[in-house]
Amino acid sequence: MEAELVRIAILGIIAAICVVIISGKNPEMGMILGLIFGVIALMIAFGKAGTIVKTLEDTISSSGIDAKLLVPLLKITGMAYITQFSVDVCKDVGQNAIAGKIETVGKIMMLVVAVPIVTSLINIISSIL
Amino acid sequence: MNVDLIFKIAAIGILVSILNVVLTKSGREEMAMMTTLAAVVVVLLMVAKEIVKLFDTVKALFGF
Repeated sequence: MEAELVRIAILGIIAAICVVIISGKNPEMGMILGLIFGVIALMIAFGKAGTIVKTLEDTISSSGIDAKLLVPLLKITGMAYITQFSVDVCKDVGQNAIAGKIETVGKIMMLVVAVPIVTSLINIISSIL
Repeated sequence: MNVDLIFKIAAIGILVSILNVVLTKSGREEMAMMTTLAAVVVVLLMVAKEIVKLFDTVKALFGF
């Protein structure tokens, strides 16, 4: 894990310097370089993140909580990562309006996924009362 | 992981900016613009594939 972090850190510094060098003559290439660094860094990170999800699933299944409550939670986490990545890219390019729209769509879609959890909570409360 | 993609794109960027300067100095502005455009398209094609791969990884990881 530390080796990956060191690798990404050094790669990031080199990529940043390359972006500065390239952006002087053609800024769009610099933007794309920054984008591809983000993609590769996240790919390496998510390649290692599988153990976290597995541990979470095991803990939930052994603790007796309904396993289908975890699915929307994980889904929303993934959606948040995708939304954040796209918003960051759009902001880097300077398109704040498009970034805001992506953010709004992400929020709405996350709410749609979260509705079953809310309804199950309401069901639990109404069964107690 | 294909880290060398970063260096590939950086090399393309530097090469194209040099080409851009040479072509502009020799009075071929439209050629320089075409070169820049072609380079951006080629690099975007490479990047688009990686973005799809990243989103697929996220989807598989979080069980979409």
